[in-house]
Amino acid sequence: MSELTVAIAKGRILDSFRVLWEGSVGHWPIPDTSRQLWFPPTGQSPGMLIARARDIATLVALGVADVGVVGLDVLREYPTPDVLEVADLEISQCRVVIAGTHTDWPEGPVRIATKYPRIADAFLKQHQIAGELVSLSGSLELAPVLGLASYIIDIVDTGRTLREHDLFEVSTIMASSARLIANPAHYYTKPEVQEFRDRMVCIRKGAPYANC
Amino acid sequence: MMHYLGEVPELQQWLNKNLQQYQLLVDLLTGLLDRGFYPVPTDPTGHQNFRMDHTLAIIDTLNRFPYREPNGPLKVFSTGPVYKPTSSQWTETVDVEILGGTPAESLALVDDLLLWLCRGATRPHLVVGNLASLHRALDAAGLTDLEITTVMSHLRNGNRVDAEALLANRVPASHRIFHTVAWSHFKTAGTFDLPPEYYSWLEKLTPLSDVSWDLASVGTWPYYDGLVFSLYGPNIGQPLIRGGQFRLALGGRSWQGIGFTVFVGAYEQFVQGVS
Repeated sequence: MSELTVAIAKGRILDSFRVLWEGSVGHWPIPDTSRQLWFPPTGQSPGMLIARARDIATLVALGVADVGVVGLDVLREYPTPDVLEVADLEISQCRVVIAGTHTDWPEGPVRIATKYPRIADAFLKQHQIAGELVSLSGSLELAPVLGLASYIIDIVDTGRTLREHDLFEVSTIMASSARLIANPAHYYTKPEVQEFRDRMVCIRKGAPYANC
Repeated sequence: MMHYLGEVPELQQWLNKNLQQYQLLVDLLTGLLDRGFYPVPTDPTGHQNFRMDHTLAIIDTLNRFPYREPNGPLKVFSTGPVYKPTSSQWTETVDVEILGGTPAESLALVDDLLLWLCRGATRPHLVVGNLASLHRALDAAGLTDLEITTVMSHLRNGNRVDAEALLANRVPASHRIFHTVAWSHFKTAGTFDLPPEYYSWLEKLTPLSDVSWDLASVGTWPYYDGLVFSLYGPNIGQPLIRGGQFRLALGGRSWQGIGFTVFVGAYEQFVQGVS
């Protein structure tokens, strides 16, 4: 697997991926205080490329990285048909929810703030809700507090941030976790890619690779 | 002092690259013309949409002529870029279609073309799937028609995780049918009943290409209904060729055939051995 390059989304996924990496590949290449974003393959260990979550699928589709690790929420918001989703790594589990200042289902024309306009639009169409989307890139919890929107569609882990802003979950739109994606050409032509996938799945199941 | 533009090294390098690309394109088109294929011009912006697929554009053009049952396969091609809406990119392609004729006739023609396209270059890798076999396998696993449609849709979008999960709900070990298998192993295992012409088709290709069987490979387009295939080159992150057998109804007529798209940029890397 020494020739493999893995692209990983910054943040929560990177932190939780470390356990899978160390269990299946070995040495974690990133020093604790490092801000380096590119760690070339070493001969014993695959290379690692750290990027923004929404860029991971593009890097894999273009073949810059052989495989990538990215949240399902990001894959659904920025669909890239030129990658294969090959494993659910079951780490960084979270949900995309609609939340508001109360638990009532949105009725009539409502304004919804979100950083997931594609997922939100599909949700509104599916439930025939007349909604206007306000596209924000962060701090969505402020939108209802400031009167910008009565609801938000955002990602939730424990729900603590919602509670701290007196917001309530109305409904879960989708469950999300980190997915392993692969460049189709490399998936078929580099045996290391399928081996990497199998190793990750085995570690996730808690089984040694040899017996998995 | 004024320089002749050709003396500027960066410009000369760029011109040389263009020259190579056009030479390759000319070689491709000459090879098709030599093999009796007819060019069909298609509109890159027809029906108020950018062209994403040549097949529909070719058939749409052919539909404008009075219909007569063809005596043997009709061999046509179209050239020009196709648009990818998700990345807002245009990709230069040559699209080859063999319409009508028997499956054996069409496959023999595809064989000839693939062997010609793979000649003299680094050994490529052909990945083959079959939608009819997949449909039968899903049916045998007890999936409903709606579930089969959902699995097909997931696979077409590259989502093997949800396709496997849906299948595993019914038959826990059944996700193994999505494992990629080397053709040499597959043909002896004989897990799926394939028409004999598929076996002879793939056997002829094995001297020039590694061949894998992957039931999860379903092609890009919903009109594929039989054999689908993709050709990949070593260390090239894009497919060189993608295609398959199809059946589609358009303009009140039913068309069946086999076709494939050559992605010129990736194919150029393959021919030149550039990684």
